[in-house]
Parts: sequence; C-alpha cells; structure tokens
Amino acid sequence: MSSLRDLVAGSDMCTPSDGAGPSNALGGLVNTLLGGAGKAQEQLRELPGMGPGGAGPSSFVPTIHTPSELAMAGPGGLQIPGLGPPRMDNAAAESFLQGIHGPSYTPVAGVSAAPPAEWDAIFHGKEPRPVVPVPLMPPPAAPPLAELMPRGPPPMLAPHFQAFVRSALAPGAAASAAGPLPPELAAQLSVADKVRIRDRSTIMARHLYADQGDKFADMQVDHLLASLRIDPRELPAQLNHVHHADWHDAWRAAAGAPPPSVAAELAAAGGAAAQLPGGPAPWDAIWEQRHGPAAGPGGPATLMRPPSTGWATEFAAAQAPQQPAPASWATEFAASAAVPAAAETTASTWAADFKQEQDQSATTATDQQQGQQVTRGSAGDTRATSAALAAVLSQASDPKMRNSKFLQFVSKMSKGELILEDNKVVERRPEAASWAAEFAGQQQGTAAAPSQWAAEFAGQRPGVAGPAPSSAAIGRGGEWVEEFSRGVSDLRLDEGLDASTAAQLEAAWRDGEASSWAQEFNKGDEQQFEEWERMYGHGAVEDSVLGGGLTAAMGPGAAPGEYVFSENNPFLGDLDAQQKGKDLFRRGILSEAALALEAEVRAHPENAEAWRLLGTVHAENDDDRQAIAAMMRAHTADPRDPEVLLALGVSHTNELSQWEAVKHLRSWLAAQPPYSALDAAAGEAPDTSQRLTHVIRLFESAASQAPSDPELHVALGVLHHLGRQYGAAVAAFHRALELRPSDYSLWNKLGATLANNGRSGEALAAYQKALDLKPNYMRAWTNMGISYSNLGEYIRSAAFYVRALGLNAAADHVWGYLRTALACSGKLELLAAVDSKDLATLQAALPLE
Amino acid sequence: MAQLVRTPTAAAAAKAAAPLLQQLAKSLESEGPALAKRIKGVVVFKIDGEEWTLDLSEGTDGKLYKGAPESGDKPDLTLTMSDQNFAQLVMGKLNPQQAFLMQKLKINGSMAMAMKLQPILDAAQPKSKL
Repeated sequence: MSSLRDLVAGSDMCTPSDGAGPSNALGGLVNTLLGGAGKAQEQLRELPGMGPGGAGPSSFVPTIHTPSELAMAGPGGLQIPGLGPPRMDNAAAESFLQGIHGPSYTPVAGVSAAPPAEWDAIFHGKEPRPVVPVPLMPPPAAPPLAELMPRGPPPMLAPHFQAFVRSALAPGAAASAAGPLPPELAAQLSVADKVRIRDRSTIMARHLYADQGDKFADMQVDHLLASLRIDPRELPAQLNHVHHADWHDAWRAAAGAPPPSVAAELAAAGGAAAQLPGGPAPWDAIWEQRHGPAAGPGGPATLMRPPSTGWATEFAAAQAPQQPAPASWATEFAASAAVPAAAETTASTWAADFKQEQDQSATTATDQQQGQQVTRGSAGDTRATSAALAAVLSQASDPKMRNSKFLQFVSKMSKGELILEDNKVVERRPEAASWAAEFAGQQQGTAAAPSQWAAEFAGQRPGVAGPAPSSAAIGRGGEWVEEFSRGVSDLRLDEGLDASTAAQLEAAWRDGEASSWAQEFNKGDEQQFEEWERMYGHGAVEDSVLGGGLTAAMGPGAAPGEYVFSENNPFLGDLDAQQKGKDLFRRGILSEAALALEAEVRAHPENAEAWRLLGTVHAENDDDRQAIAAMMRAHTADPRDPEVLLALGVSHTNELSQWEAVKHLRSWLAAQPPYSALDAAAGEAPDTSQRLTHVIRLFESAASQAPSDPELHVALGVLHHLGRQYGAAVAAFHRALELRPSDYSLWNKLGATLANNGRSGEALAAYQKALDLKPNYMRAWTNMGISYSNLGEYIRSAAFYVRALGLNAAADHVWGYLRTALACSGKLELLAAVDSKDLATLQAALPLE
Repeated sequence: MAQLVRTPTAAAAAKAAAPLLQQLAKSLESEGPALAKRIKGVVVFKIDGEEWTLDLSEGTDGKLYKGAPESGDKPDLTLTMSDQNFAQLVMGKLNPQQAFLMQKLKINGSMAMAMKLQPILDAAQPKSKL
C-alpha cells in the first residue's frame, strides 16, 4: 500500500521535503484519505497542534493556515484542501481572523502581534507592541516561542486581511475597506513576505471564492495586493525555500505525543486552541535562523516551490473538467496522477538525472495524455492541451522555468514531436516528416542505387537476363527490368519523372507481370468481388485464414449454408438408418443419431423429415451452422413446415443473422392459419431498420389474440431476444413455459436469454431444469459452461465444457471455449491435453461431482 | 448435388483467442455499425504474434480479418498481448487498465481509442445459444 501511496503522492525521495510540502498537496489528500500512515504525517501529528489541516499546503508553517484550516474544518468534518471546502461562516471567519494574530511578529520590529483585543490599537497605531501571549499560545513557554513562531501578517496589515476575508462573506462588498498601506510600511515588507502574502492569499481566495471561480478570486487577491502596495509583477514566481537537515532533526525532536486520530484532532482543533508546548523550540530556532529579522529572499535555495498560482491552476484544471467519458478508471488515474506527477516534475531539482526526468516525463506525458484524452476524448487535443500548458508555463517569469526540461518536453508534445510508442514516449524529430526529401537526396547522390536494385531484381528472376525466357511473362518482366535500369539514371524521385522515362515506365508496367493483377482488378469480376467479400467481409471470418485447426476441417470452399457430411459413417447403406436415427435421438445419443440420419439423407436426399430431424439434432448438439444447412434442405422440400421455420428462426438468431431470423419467423406466422390474415394485413415495415419492431408488434397482436399458443410465445421470445429486449424475451418464455413446462429446449432458451442479459445465476437454474429433462442435452451443458465463465468460475466452467465435449467431440468452438476457460483459470498444464484433444485426461482432471 | 465431406484434422495448436475472434466477427453483423460509430478507427490486435485487424472506420459496418490492415495505413490503435491475456481480457478476468498497468497489454497509438476498448471485448464474449 505504501508503494501506491508513493506512486500517487510522491515518496520522500521525490521531493527534497519530506513529502508534505506545499508542492505535494495531493500528498496531504492521500494521507488524509488513506489514513495518514506516511512518515511525514506522523511527524506532523507528533508536532502538537497540527491537525489534519497541517497536511495541506501549510504543513511547514503552522500558522495562519492551521487556524484557517481548522476554522474551515470546524463544524463540518474533514475538509480537504484544494477540494473546495464550503464557505466559512462568520464565526469561523472571526476565529480565523483571531488566529491570524496569534503568534506573529513583524519582520522589522521582531515583536509578535497583539492579541485580538488590541486590534483597534494596532490599527490606529503603529508602535510595536511587546510580546503578549495570546490564547493560541500557552503562556509559560510562550514568550520565546511567540517571538520566534512564524507568523501571521504584520499587524498593520491586519485590517487588509480582515477586509479581504470579510468581503468573502459579504458577497459584493468592496474588496478593501482599508486604504492603501502607507509606503513606508509597504517597504518594510520583504520580498519573501510579499511572495508569501501573495501565495497564501491566492490559496485563501481560491478557497473562499470557490464558487465564484478562480478569476474572481484572483481579482480579490489583486485588490489586496494593490492595497498593500505589492506589485505582483515584480515578485518572483517562486520563493526559494530553505530546507536543511535541521528541519528533520527538529521534526524528530518534536514532543512525542501519540498521534491522535484525525477526528479527535478535529475536535480538539475545533476550539482553535493549538497547544504548543516546548517541543517546537528547536524547530523555531531553525526557522528564526532562516528567516531572521532582516530576512531577505530566504537562504540558499535547494528546494524550489512551484509558482503557487501555477500549482493552483494545474490542480484546478486537473480537478475541474467533468469527465463525460464512461472510462472512469482512467479519469481517476489521470486526476490522481497528473497533479503529483506534474508538481513533482517541477519541484524536483533541475539538476536531476536526465534519465530520471525522462521517466517522469514519460509518466507525465502518459498521464497528461490520458487525462486530456479522457476530458476531451480525442487524440488531437493532447497537443492542443500540451500547447496550452506550455504557454502557461512559459509565461512564468522565472527563466529557470522557461528553460526547464519539463517545459521543453511539454512544448515538444504540443508540436507533435513526441508520440506514444510501446508504452513509452518516443521522440520523433520534425525532420522525420521530410524523409522523402532525405531519401530523394540520397537518390540524387547515388543514382546507381536504383539500377543496382533493378539489377538485383533481374538477377532474382531465373534466366531473365539471358535471351531465352522460359515464359512470355518472365520475358516481359525481364524486358521491363532492362528498361528500368536503362532509364534509371534519370530517375529522381523528388522531382518526378521526366516525360520520356515516365512513358517508358508506364509501358513497362503495363506489359510486365504486374499488369495481370491490375487487369483482374479492373475487370471488376463480380464473382471475384463476392469471393473477396466473403473472405474479408464481416460475418465470414471462419472462411478466411482463421488458422489450421478450425476451418481446415471444413474442407475447401465450404460455403455457408451447405451441409457438410461426416466422412466415416458406419450407417451408410443401412436401410433402417432413419428409424435408428430417431431411436438414437430419443435416447439422447446425438452424435450417433446425426450419423444415422446423414446416412439416410445421403441415400434419400428428398427425405424432408430426415433433414428436419437432422437439423434438430445438430441444434441440440450446439452446431447451428449445420442445423441451418439441414433445415434449409427440409425447407426447400416443404416451405410451410412450421417446425422447420421456427427452428430456422432460432438458429439464425444464435448466429446473429437478424434479417434471416426475422424472415423465417414471419413466414412461420404466415404459415399458421389463425394468423395468416393478420400477417397479410400487417404488410411490410416502413423501412429496413424498423423491420424487427414491426414484426414484433405483429406477433404481439397475434399473441393477444391467442394467448394460449405456446409456440407463438416462443417465437415472440426469440424476436425479443434478437432485438436484445431481454426482459420482454424472458417474460415471453415464461408464458410459454407455463403452457409447456416439460419442453427442455424451452428451458434452455430461457436460460440463454437470462445469461445473455447478464443474469447468469438464474440462467444456471434454468439450464439445470433442461438437463433434468434431457440429461444429454449437449447445448445446455455448453451453455452452463458459458454461464460459469461469466460468473468467473473458470475451473467449473472448464469441467462443464469437458462434459459437453464428451457428448460431442466435434464441437470445435467448445474446444476453443475450454481453452479460454483454462487460460483464465490458470490451469495451463491442461492446455496440452486440449491441443491433443485428450478427453480422458481432461475428464480426469476436471471432474463434475 | 455435390456433397462435401468433412475431413477430421488435428487441431493445430488452436488458440484460446480463436473462438473469441470468431464470435467478434459474428457480432459485427449486428453490432458492427454501432461499434464503428463509436470507435471510428482501425484497431489491430497482435496476439502472440498473429495480427488481426478490426476495421471499424467511421461509416463502415465493421470488418475483422487476419493480417495487417488492407489499406496499408497505420492502424489507429495497436494492442499487443499474449493469447492467454487476450482470453482473460475478453472474459472479464482482467480489465484493460489492469492489464496495461501490469504491462500485460501494450498499447501503441491512440489512447482515446484504447479507453473505448470494452465494447469490443464484450462483443467477443461467447454468447449463450437459444
């Protein structure tokens, strides 16, 4: 779990800080969500007075943000920084404002501010006040701490901040009630102070004005800064923040109060009484060192904070766009990963390993891409968004930022020079696009190359160079090669061919071997196209190059719809084949029954009854293709046989051939005397897309006319299943089953409809009923296997497939399903047995209890 | 009438993916246009080295065939995975994002299209037969 945390929130290794710095707001979020087992969080908790709010951007500095967080966290519950906490109410605001003036002091005078009760005095007077302990600090140990404890704003600035916050609560109120700060005081603000003020007020404003948007918030901030005479333009984008080993020591040295639970802390903190016993003293000493009385822009910079607004913008950008795409996983991933990745990339030192950056950049790019893709849903927008991001970043005033590798990377992304390849980002040089020019250049340089190639080509064709070609075609090819080599020196790809060479080439091409193919194509041979369509078009993949095992068994050119006879048929010549076939079928020995019936129809191809029975056998043996073929033969003999028509409708539905299924079911209806009038009256559907609904309505009107005809309901159920209206289909099958409860095939239909609707558990019950009625119902066994797979029980599923194969070993698709189930279950050792179709081994390994 | 005789042959290392791809091809008859409207591109599956092209270009009805894309263009999305992982993906044992994170699935090309993979995988699942 910690690796996940590290991944999302950044581990200690990622930033020089201990992962809880302002650059890692998400670390705080994660810590809060995951229960805060991170080292930093524990250290933070150990530091008394640090609530969960301390995990936010204010972690290093337990000052105004702590009370602010606490105030905002007050009544409600856990507030997570950056996610738009609800507006503060007045009480919270007041306590917040009180909190500001807790432990603070002016940089100039080195004294802490007065307690809240002395605000007015401060407001009107500017004399420095002696240190006075405030409710926020326990008196005994306070004085040294109060001095050293950073810090709220200097007291003179208090009213400005007050107004700033108050205006948040009174929407529409003027931004600043206090006049502009007198210049002398403004000058006393160090650059660091100004930056801090700007940053923190930005964050505050974003929180306060969460519902009015960032622009409004920024406006408020600008007002505040103006009133304080701070010119944001002259402030550095980043504040060089010091981080030394001393910090770590101080953290560790902090008083060892057991880390209280988050809720308890909230409760304690709700009273805004941050207890600060003597523990943090060394910590504050360090702070004092760093930010001495005449603090300049901080000490040596080893940790760089990202520009606050930039971070806020990025974070908001990652949060704000709502994800319309159904791929919620990706959005979560992108949202959670994009921010820390981006933040960390900027926060890590620029002197970092190039490789490390590449990896980070790769992750960022992927995340960004994912993020952008999800939010925009189109590939092209990655570049647009990267371009936007690059623009934002490049506007950062710090030159270091502009030259950063990250920025370069992003700008390259936006220009499309980087693409995603093999799960990595690969740089594609812009010149790659002009490979043609290069190639052409090469060609110019080595005009001999094409002739070499031509010579090679000539050499490969046997006996072509010589004067005695074995066939006209090759001779023509040789001629062409000669011509090509001759004309080649003039050939310059980039400039196009000059007229004579072009003509030569054309002629050569036409006469050469290639012409035959072109001619064939141009002839537009209908048969040829059909053949191609059959091979490459949809729905006929099995005839194309599916691989040896599956279609080779069919024999060459087995057109769909043609019945394929088995080779070794022991019943051939048996005069009693049909009767035997019927017996075998009744006994449930389906494969044998099929053989017997095949023998019969081979001898008597006009025997429609035998064909029909053969079709039924194949359907029960889960072979719809053969079933259709057989049924069609029966159909030609008797086009109005209702059983045949219904069976054809079912098999075509299984094969997902909607049009044929509807056609046959409609014919079925028309063939029934009670409904023929209805069918004639209904006519044709207004257009093909509505054909199915039209026929369904027709059937429903028939069903209302004759509610006790079970077959009608079966047909209606099949139609609904075709239209994927599974609820209606289930209802129809239920009605049919009420009328005919011992029809095993009906139970199977019900089960299959339930399974295709995702109700695999109920489907199993229905299949079981079917098997109770007909134990050797191979189709039901297969369907049970499919349902177990849907439920994730792959081993059980495999066992059912094995059972089904025991009944019909020729069912190639079931071998495939078995293989799939074994692949999912992890029982790879049995795959060899599947390859060799070793049923005995499989049955032993996968028993059905 | 010519009668065709089935010659039983030993299944040559039948892959787990084969019936799933067959099912996908069949599903294209009914679901092809809808899928093409969503995906609008060409997806190539490289399963244990075998290349299968699923052409769901905008406005077409969808096609699935073995080998590289016919038009010779670069596919919009190429997915490379083993046979076993393809089976697990289709059957729902593995979901695409898990597979991607665990490096069981390699994606080349449009990430946006990869997000929309699920309906294609669903269409390849074995269907229960009425």
